[in-house]
Amino acid sequence: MKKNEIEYMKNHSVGAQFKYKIASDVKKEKIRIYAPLILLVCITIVASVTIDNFFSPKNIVNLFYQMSIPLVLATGVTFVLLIGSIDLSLEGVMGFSGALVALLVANTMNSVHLGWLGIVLTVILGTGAGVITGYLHVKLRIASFIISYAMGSIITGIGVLTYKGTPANVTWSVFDAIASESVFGVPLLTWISLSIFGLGCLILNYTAFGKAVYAIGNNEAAARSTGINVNKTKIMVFALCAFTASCAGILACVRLKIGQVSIGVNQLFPVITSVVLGGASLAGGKGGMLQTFIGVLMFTELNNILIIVGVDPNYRQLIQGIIIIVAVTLTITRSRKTITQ
Amino acid sequence: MKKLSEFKLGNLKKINTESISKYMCLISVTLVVLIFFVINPKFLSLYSIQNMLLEMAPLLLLAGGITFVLFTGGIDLSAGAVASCTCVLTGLYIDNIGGWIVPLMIVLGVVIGLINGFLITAFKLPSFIVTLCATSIWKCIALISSGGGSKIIPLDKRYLVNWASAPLLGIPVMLWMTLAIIGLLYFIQRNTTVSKSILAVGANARAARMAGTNTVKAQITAMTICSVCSALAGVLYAFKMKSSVPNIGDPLGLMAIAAVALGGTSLAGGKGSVLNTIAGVATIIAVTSGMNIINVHALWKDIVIGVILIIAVFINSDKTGKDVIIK
Repeated sequence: MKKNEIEYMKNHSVGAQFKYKIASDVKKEKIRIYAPLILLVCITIVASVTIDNFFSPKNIVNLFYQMSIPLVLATGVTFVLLIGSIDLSLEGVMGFSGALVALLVANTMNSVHLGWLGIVLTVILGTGAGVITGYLHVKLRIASFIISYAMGSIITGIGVLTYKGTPANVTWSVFDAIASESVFGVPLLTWISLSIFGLGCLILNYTAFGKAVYAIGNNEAAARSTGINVNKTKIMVFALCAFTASCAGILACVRLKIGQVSIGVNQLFPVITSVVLGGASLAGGKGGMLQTFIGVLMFTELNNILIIVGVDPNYRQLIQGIIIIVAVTLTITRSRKTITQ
Repeated sequence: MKKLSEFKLGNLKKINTESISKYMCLISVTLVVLIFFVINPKFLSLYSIQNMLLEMAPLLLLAGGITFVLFTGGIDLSAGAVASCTCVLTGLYIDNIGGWIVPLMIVLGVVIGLINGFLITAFKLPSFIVTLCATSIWKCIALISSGGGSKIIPLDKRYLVNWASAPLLGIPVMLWMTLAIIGLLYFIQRNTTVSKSILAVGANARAARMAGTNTVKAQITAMTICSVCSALAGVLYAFKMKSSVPNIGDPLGLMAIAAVALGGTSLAGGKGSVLNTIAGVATIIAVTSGMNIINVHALWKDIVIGVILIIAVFINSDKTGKDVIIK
């Protein structure tokens, strides 16, 4: 304890001491929440000063275009991390949705053309996979790490089965239009991803479901005894995560115009890292949509800087790994009492 | 008196359920083997069994190390990447250094484990993130030093690696070595104080620290054991494939974790045994080689593995405490 703090404690009543303690805790909490934001601003300032054209409108639009798919994925992952679970099936669901949507709209492999209905059907099936994951996790009482790994394996297999090894090219003109169209100079894909993110914000911050998610993450036993339907909430969280993964798969398919499961490969771990970078705790209960946005933006920005600076692509992953450890060290949620595992 | 007998009865019940869940992993591996044997009797031919034992050795080593990290309630995602890295280095330098490469790789494993453990305990970072970043670092080093492709160990140096795959009393030398290391790990688990503190950290980290356990030492030890085992597993892969393969470890990390979970070790920490891991690895290997033998189409493999994993983990999972929270 600091000297002036001890001085204050001596001269005041117990009530005042308590008030003082709470106030200082709140202050610390505020610093913790804003740490990622401060780091993001610092990185942006340093990059804009040292790199030409970094803070140009063109590069900023480009940055938002690059983060469109990770942002959609991160929206769902935030919910899963908030309840303290993890979802490894995300890559599988994303790949499955990308492969399926390519087959359900006009394509080079079959004559099926369901149009918008195909997209809706894909999202429903993708979300269904999440419901199954959540249901098995809750009912069979298997750790989410294992059950989602197994479900990811299954759904990837089903995704490959749908096109039997040779991926289909999409020929539907709407996909071309979405990929190339811009509104107010910003690509339509970015707008779509931002609106899905906005939907996630609304659900997390303004519904009873969102509050229940926080409650379960903070203390599941307490949440259960206050009458929250924990099992139902958990299943909904996994369904939501699969929904966003499904949307991300469709967006990736729009971008590449080819449907194969490999569009989901290597998407999961960067997204989890970005969400943690924003200040979410893997143990659950801490984090939020704004933090997730900051984390994803920071991750994308670091990548963007490494590319602009012209780091040898062979070494990029290595440097990225080191930078992320440093960044997480600076921003992560921790208190004196925690022992991390 | 009545109270005492009640107490005894309660104790007896506990022991019963515990012993049943202990043998569940043996039941699931026998079940898997029986199913494949019924579909195709060649599954239990001498050649096939030897092949499976050879296949099993490195994965067992990997999983044995990860078991200790799971005891602490942490996770090590970097095991596969460390294995690829040491596999590449062994393949590249064995013709210059010879057999001394093995102790060098063990030293590398110790260093990696110490770095991981230091980052986790000193900066209070989650092991998930630290080992995730370590994965990208070591994978990258493996790719850079190998130049991106696999390289075969020259024929005149093959005598340095051939002995490992040769059978001794019907079992490959490699597996004998692995079993010896697993035995050592089991000894550590049963008879040392550090393993008790590792389990204590997993069961309840705060309580362990309040009781005076050195949690920092426990976590660093667990990470080091895991990295050394992964490094050795990489060496064994190089011996087995007789070449350096930079991406060999990519699917192995998660597969090894799944194998440990199959053995009944809880991902939340504080529970499990290294011996159960052997049964878990045997299940995974039996499934993957069994599918080759009964000719499952390549497109169906992922689905079958996923379904079997769910069923097997469900059979093995501890069903004693309904109030235990599963994350």
